[in-house]
This record gives sequence, structure tokens and C-alpha cells, in this order.
Amino acid sequence: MNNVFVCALPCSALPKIETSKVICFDPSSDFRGAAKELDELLGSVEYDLAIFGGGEPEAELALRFSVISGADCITEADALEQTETGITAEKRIYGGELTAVYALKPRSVVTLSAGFPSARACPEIYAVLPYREPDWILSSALTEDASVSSLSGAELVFAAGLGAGAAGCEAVKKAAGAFGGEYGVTRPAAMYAWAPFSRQIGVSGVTISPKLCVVFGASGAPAFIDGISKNCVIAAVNTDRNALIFKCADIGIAADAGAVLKELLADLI
Amino acid sequence: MLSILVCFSIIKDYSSAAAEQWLPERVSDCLEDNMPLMPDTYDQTALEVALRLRDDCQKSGEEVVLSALTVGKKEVPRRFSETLFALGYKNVVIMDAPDKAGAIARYAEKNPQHIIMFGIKSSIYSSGSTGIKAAQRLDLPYFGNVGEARRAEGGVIVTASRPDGVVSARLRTPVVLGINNSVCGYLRIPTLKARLEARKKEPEALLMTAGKADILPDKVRVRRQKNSCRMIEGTAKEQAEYLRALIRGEQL
Repeated sequence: MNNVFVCALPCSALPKIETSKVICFDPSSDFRGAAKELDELLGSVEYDLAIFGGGEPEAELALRFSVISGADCITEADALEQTETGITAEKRIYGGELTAVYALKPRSVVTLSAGFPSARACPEIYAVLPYREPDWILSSALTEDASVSSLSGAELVFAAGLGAGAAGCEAVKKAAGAFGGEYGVTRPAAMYAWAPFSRQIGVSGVTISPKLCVVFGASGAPAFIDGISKNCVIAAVNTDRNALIFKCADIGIAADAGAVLKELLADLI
Repeated sequence: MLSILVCFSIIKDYSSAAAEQWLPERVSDCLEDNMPLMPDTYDQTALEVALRLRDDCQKSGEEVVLSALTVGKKEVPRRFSETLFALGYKNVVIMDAPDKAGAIARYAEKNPQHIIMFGIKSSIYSSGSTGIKAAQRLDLPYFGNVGEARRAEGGVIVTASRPDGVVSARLRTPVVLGINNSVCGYLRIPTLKARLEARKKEPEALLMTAGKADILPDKVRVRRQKNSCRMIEGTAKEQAEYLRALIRGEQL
């Protein structure tokens, strides 16, 4: 494969794919200008595929670039494969129930899913796109919240869903503190304000890759499960023995989440 | 005066499909079955965020024109278009066009907007790409993961989640906003009186044949799922004890 890989600075890791050229850009740059620069840069370059990293800045640049260049764009690809007939990309669709396989035309644009495995440190950079001031942002201030980074990097995560209730979410938080892990919730639980959105696990929240994730009272909606790394051991507690979560879990407990949490914390608090 | 356009998708509610319908031999039934239609949940959040922004503007007496637009062949449930009119959306537009982003951009060119909102995860195949593509077609900036928007001089102040925290930014309009999780994520319910009034209104239907549709998959297959879940029986105390051992790494 003769690929171009585009990623936001700082370029820390490459995905597990063959890459011939690495192009970096400043994620705080104005993407309208960056997309035009990229189009000019790649206009005379021979390549099969332009692959973009799994972050949001990369996705925006990829989509803008695909509009300018007229290329097909596949977002959030889980896998790329070189076949006899060409390159294919796979992505999850219909809430993760199905996998779509796309045969890619030359010079297609692909963005990788957040959980795409990385391989090694970034090699030599082919080009860095010039920074363009986003003059439409009149002012901005960031309030740092370490919970996202601590949750995404945790080795042990306790998660609560709607079935755990507000009390279950509190208990999960205590369990995380007691066992040295981090806690997270499903989107419905965050929508009920049982935990801040920075603790939401899933495709629209934080993607986690712990060694063990203990899930209480979650149905196992694909939007939640897709936020948990495939290599993680999932232990799930849910009253419904037929819940979807047990199709994705390694260890299942068909019981009331509150009762198990109470016993789990019995000697600790 | 502030003009806000909110784009929404009507999707099939696949969460109502039985687990058996996702088995390989029945999956085509599932995709073609008469699943109930619903507005995408992230788009509903976008519709609510726009209403909250309107409420904020009205405090200072500023006029706000709200429009809601959907592109697609799926029918918009009558009750939903009534809800939008009843909540104060002046225009509800249903477009039939192969190129979603192109159609939205064309509409916004003809009907200039200060703010265009999209739910960030809308659409089954494109994973929320329509908003960014439309922004590029219109040569407008895009600000994603927005949870709240308030009126500010010369534009809007938005609150948006970022990997390292929460950013509050004052943006110049026109701008395209991608709406993610909001503290008030559910679309409000109109009064019965407003709903009855809304029954007199009809959505505007537009047809646009030009443009290229998004790439569709060459094949679709059922995802392989783990099916080796080991069920732990016993009392809650015994199950908790098993979990403790698991957490300590004894069963891993």
C-alpha cells in the first residue's frame, strides 16, 4: 500500500498499517485553510489512500479535504485490508450490529476509529501543514478536567448504567475509589445527571481500554460497548439474563446490581 | 435578528429489533422490516439546544427565526413535525436529495443562516460527517462537541467538551455547530394548545436531484460477538466475592 497518513500534532503513534508519508497539522488551526493546503500538497503526489488519525481534528480535516478533492470518505474505519482486488475498509454500522465493507477507489480518504491499534512511534514527518489562525474564534478558555484522561487510561474501570440507578452510580464511584480504579457511566445515566458527561463511556464519550471493566446495570447498547476496547475483560451484572451485555461480556452475573454492589463494598465502607 | 437552522435525521429505531433479528439469516428482514421511525437522539438534542438559545435571545428582546431541515427518503412522523411547529420552529423543511451535505448547503445559501446545528452522531453510515461536509461546502467554520450555546455580542458563546476538559468559546457567526451531550439533552414537550395550533401547518417539501450520494458499502455482515460469557451463579455475597477475586487478578 502506498499510503499517506495525516495526524494532528504532537504525532505520538502510528496505526498498525504501512505508511509511506506522514503529514502533521496543528489541531488548533483553521481547518478550512489546512484542507486547502493539504489538497495542494497532495495534488501532485501519488498515493492509494489518505488515512487520517482517530481524533476529532483529524476527522474534520479529512472530511473537508474529501469535499475539496472530491474523494470518497469513510469515517471511523476499524480495519483496513489489502486484497487482490484493492484496498478495503471496514466500519461498524447500525449501532454496531453490522460491519460494512467498502472497496476503496484510489485516493480515497479514510479516518480511523478511536480504538484503532497503534504500532510504533511516529517516524520521519514528510510535511507539516502551516498554522492558520481561526479568526472566527473571538476568545476561548479551557477548564481542565483530568477525569477524561484518567478514565481513558485506567486499568480497572467500574461502570454503571440506567439499571444501577442513582444509588448504583454512587456505589460504583465508591467501588472505584476502594479498589483503585476509575468509574464511568453509560449515556442514559449521564443524561440523568447521575455523573458528569466527562465520565460517559461510549462512542460519544470516553473510549476506554482497561484490563478489566465491571459493568453494573447496563443493557449493553452498542454505543456503550463500542467505547470499550476489544481486548478488555468485561464482567457484567444485570438482572435480565437475556440482556445484550451478556453477549459482549466475558463474565456475567444475572442479579440485581444494587445487591451485588452492596456486598462488594460490604467490608470496605 | 438571529437565524438558526437545525438539521435532523429520521432513522429507524433498531433498538426495538429483537436480538434474533440480528442473526445472519434474518438480518435482511431486520433492515427491511417496518421498524418504527424516530428522530436521531443527538439531533433532538440539537433541536433543544437551539430552543434554549432562542430563549436566551428572547430575554433581551431579540427576534430568532428557527428552521428545522431533514434530508432523506424516510417519512417524517407527522407528530414530530407538529412538535417542531408547536415548539416555535417557523419552518420545517423535508428535502429529498441524494447528496445530503450538498442539499443542506444549497438550502443555506438560498436561506442564509447565522448558525447551523447538527447532532454529532447522526446518520447510520456517515457517522456525523454531514455537518462538517456542509460547513466545507459553505466555506464556514465548524465547532464540534457543543453542549450549550448562549448569545454574545457578534456571535455566540458555546460550551464544548474536549479530551482535556471543557472549553468555553466566543464564536463569530455564521458558524456550524456539532451538538453532542447537553445538560438538557431531551427535546421539550409542547403544550396541548400549541400542538393544536401546529396541526394547521405543513412542512415544506423540496426535491433536489443533483449531487452525488455518499459511498455505500459493497457488503454488510453481522458482527461477530463474544458468545462465551461465563455466568456466575450463587448468592449476591458469593457473586461479589467472585468479583473481588477477579479485581485482584485471581481469575483473569
